[in-house]
Amino acid sequence: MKLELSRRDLFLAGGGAVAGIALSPVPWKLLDDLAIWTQQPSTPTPRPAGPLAFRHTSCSLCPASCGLKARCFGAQPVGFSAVPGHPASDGGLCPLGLTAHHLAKHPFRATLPERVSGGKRERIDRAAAVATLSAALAACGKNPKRIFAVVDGRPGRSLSRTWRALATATGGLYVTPPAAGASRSLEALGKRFDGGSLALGVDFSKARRVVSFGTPVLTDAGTPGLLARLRAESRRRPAAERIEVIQVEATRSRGAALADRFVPIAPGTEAAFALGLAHVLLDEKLADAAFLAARTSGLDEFASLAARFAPALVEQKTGVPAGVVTALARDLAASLPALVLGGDPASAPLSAEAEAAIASLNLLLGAPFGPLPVRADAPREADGDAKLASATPFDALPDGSVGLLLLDATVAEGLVPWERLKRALSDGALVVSLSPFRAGLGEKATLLLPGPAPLEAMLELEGPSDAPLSTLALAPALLLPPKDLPLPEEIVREATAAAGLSLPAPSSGRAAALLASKRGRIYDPSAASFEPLAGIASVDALAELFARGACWIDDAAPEPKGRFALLREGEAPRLLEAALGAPSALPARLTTLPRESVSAAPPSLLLTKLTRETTLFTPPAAANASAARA
Amino acid sequence: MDDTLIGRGLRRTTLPRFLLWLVPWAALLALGVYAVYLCFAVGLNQTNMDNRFAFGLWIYLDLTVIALGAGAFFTGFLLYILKKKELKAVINSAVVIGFICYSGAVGILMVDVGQPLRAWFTFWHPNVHSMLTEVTFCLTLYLSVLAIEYAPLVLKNRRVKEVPGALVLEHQLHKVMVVFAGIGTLLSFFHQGSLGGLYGVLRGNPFAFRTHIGIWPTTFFLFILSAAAVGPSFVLLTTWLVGKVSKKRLVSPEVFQTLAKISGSLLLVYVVLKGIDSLIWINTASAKTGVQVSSFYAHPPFGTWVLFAEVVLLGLVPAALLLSRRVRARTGLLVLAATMACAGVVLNRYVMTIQTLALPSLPFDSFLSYSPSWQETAAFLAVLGYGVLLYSISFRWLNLFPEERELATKG
Amino acid sequence: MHTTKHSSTLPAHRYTLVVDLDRCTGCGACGTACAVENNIPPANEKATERTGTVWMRVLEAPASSAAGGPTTFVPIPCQQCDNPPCVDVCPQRAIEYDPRTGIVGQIPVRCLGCRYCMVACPYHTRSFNWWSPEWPAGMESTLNPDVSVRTRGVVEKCNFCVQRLQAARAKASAAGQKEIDPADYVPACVEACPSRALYFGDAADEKSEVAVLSKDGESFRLLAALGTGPKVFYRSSDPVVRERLSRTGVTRG
Repeated sequence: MKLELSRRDLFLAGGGAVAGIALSPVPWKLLDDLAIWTQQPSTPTPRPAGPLAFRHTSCSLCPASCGLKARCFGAQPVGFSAVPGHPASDGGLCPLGLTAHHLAKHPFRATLPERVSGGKRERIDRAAAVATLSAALAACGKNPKRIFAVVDGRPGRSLSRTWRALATATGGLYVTPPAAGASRSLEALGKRFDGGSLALGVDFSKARRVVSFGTPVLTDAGTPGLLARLRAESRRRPAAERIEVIQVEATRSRGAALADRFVPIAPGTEAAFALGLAHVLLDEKLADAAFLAARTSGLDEFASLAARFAPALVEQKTGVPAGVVTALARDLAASLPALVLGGDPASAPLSAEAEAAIASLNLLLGAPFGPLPVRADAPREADGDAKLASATPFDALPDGSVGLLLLDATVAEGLVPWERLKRALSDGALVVSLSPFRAGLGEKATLLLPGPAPLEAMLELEGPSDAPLSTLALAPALLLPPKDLPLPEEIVREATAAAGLSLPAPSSGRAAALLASKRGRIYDPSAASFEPLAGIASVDALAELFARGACWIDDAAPEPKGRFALLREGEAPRLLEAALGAPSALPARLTTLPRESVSAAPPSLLLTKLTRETTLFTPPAAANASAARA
Repeated sequence: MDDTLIGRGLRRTTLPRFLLWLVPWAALLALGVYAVYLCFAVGLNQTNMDNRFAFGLWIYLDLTVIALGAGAFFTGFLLYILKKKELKAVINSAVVIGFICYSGAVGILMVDVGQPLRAWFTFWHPNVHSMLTEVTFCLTLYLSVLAIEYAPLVLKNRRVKEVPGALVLEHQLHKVMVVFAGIGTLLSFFHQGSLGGLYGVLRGNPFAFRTHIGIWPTTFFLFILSAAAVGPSFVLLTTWLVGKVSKKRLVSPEVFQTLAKISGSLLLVYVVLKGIDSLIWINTASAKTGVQVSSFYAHPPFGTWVLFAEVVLLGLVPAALLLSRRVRARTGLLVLAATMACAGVVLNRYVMTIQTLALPSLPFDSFLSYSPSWQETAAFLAVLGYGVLLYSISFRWLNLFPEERELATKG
Repeated sequence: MHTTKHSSTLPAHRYTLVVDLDRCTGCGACGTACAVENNIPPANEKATERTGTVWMRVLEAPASSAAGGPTTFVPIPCQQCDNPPCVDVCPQRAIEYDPRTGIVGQIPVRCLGCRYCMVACPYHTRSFNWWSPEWPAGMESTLNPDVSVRTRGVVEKCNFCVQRLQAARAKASAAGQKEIDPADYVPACVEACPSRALYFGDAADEKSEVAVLSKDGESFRLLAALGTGPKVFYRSSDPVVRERLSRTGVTRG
């Protein structure tokens, strides 16, 4: 058969094709897709940077050091989730941690050294940075009014050894800031132990009553959400097993609003209130007599001090009705175990006397070794032969003495307020910040040597000092730092050498030190299981585990022998004077995002969802403004 | 040129005076056009609407001008379908006003939506359950009908007539105008109704929600009735106003009488039905949602006075006035009554749009306030400017009032 | 009111969120995780509480008693109604109720931005994009490639992270299974909550945690009287909180 195509056939075929296409979904789908073209041209199209993978690390933004499970496309994390069962955080993450991957691209990010001279900020190159720093280093130590000081927000790291050696070499100070949360009231308690200073942690799971003197236990301190979780679980149990939080504070803070009971108190009268509770406990013989007899000393002296604080007097001093004081003391005694926490350096600092009174109250309630367990710090590298300066507490930094201040990238402005730092500086001092951000202390520095942003470098992360057990993660980096980023530690080393000073070689012995301790267990997040540290064969094997996002947790420490002094030497008169005297002034309180005040990095811009687009949090600036008005 | 455009036998002011009159309205329009440009270029952040007050001045404007513009369809319905011949005197003017109101509303609606380029999706993916779909379909079609009704006016202009075929087309259009009047009436009934349905179907809002008759909430029918009632009043008002401004007698007094009678009767029916509807609402709303109706009026400034003003003060009273022969005999009182009738519907549309959105809904919500930004206000005023411009031009060069020449030669 | 859909017409899966108000501390982790997962842009500098783009809003309800009991924070995502007032009002079918899952989805590319759905929703859980979405230079690289960015001028809202359901389905079908593993489908907010105040699951499975929790006496729904049938349940051990939050807001005045 012969195929003949006429013009008519071609027309028919063409027309048929057009009709067929018109009847198919294709043109209609294309028409629909026109919607794309009505989008604003600036609307970005998210594209995967590589195949999907999950990687583990730990968050470095605050001392809680929560475990992070990162959802990554290629090398780019696009979101985090918490790691259930993680020793440091047990499945909790806060808004700061959830947005940690944005920080490397934060608008305040700096990637080149910057110098402020004559009020003008200018970018400088590596050589100029080295020259500026070495000149300042060389001038240190010649004048006792112009010493060198370095502030380290996370002591105990390998890098901390460099800073301590530098302090030694320059004849300067190695300064450590106060820990966040209630650590200082726990330290005050630990110092009363006659068998040597004890480190105590907080175990909320063992307490039925938590009295907080301004410590943000439900919002900030400790592991995110842990106490709230424990309390909520207890609410559906019989009344006798319920956990209750009592917040004693001058303002109705966020923590106060969430507490089961809020006891508003006149500012600065915490010591009087604590002694009032102690009075009722002793007067009505409600204190833990067995614990007092076996584990404390100086009861008589303390009792005679507490006897002065009858509820009527406490009412007069603190403004809390006498009935409330009595009822609270009775409730605590009837609901043991109970614990008392005080203060927070970032939001509610307490006087040393208030901390002392709180420590004694914990002893009357028998809190140590129960809800306040003994803990040991994570193993650190031994000092060996190296000449390393020991730590000077931040509060002890002398005024007008520092000519060169070096602020490590881990220093948070909430714990190291700029106003206090400024007092320590002498005229024309050089303030060097290693922060990767042109914000917070990084903005105040006169020489900024920006280092890797969070998640851009491996970090040694110890858990918070008030955790019941110490933890340690050598958290792997998820992101690559910018290619030409001059590493600040190298600049400091070069400048030190140029100034004619010597430093020991950088060390990386933390994993080895940990392995040698043979203590504790290590959590492998990819297997969601623990392994005894003693079972790890080599430092390499341990390092390999850490590189996968593992976290080490200590064993429970044995209960030591010894007694706590209810009052320390010469403490009674000071306590009496402070509690009976005029109330001390409290600094203005900030309403900030959870943990923002103790973070060394600025919050992600996405947190404007919480500060601007909802009424959930007042942004710090607005809170400051309202505090200034008040 | 200007002279040859003005209809034979009609006296109009000089061209320079006319242009001077246009200047302020053109300025208003220009400012509005700039505001609209800002909304397109920068976005709707130029308005003071927000996620809670998602409708604002513009939707209120749309509802109001469409209700007032109802004179076009209803006069057409009375003239062409019910053969009320005396209304021939105002039909042209009513058509122009209708066209202005509807085109203004559609224009503002296009600014109000975030993605106007996707407006055609409503025809492409229509949701037959949505009152807004009904509104969009009917508005678009009715605007086309209005354009067709407007066309003969232009075609009858002295100069346009000279164009070959213009008269033929005009004649043909005239013959089918009854069909368009019918279609227009049907479409108008639907969109006036569905604009009311817009709020009556809000199941999540016990203040706005109303009992349904068939698939439509009662507000559907009340909006049709109220629009039909004030449409003639608004035609009366505008005709009177044009007469005042141009210092001319445009229609014979009987036309005003007829308009007032129609408006008054319909308003009475509307007010009675609105009253019955309110009573049903008051007695059933709380049984269904547990909300006492009194609580809707416990949030100042929206007290029960709103309901009173709507039903009695600006409903029953103007209805009675418009129906009274003695009131109708006095132009001043007649105009006052017509103004009150229009104000009643303007208030009703305000309450439906603004009070609905301002009332708290969730247990921790508070009563919300909203005030339009200058951009919203300018766009709103631009519709007024545009309206006066288009009407002035039509009045000057087109023959809006067929009786005008006759009355002028008589008087 | 319209008749509420009867159980016979309810979807085969009924994805449900239960919020334990006793546990919520108002930390904002849920809303933050939601913004990260769903590529919600940072606030425009002029944005306010009423013009921001927030899918998971946490509101502070007044304290439960005059004596100053604890404050209650109430996280409010889209309530995923079984009888949604929003679906029927959209003129161009940009909102869909998925009869297989009960999830109410918003289709941003079809949305014209008329905001009628926002007026219809008594829970105010929608956001209109008043501004163009903008990220600081370089931050676009942190966007989630599974979710497209919405343009200026359209409405958006929570969809229970439906992209995670799609991923779970893909995973199940790759493994030759018909049903997804419930552990594979958890919305970002639920995953993030540090105090574990959020429970998520399929209430069609009578034995699931959400089915049990949503039926007990401590659970209630917001504006339940309106008959919208939300699939977000709230629970509190405090009867005062339950009573106060079950009310309609307009009755307060």
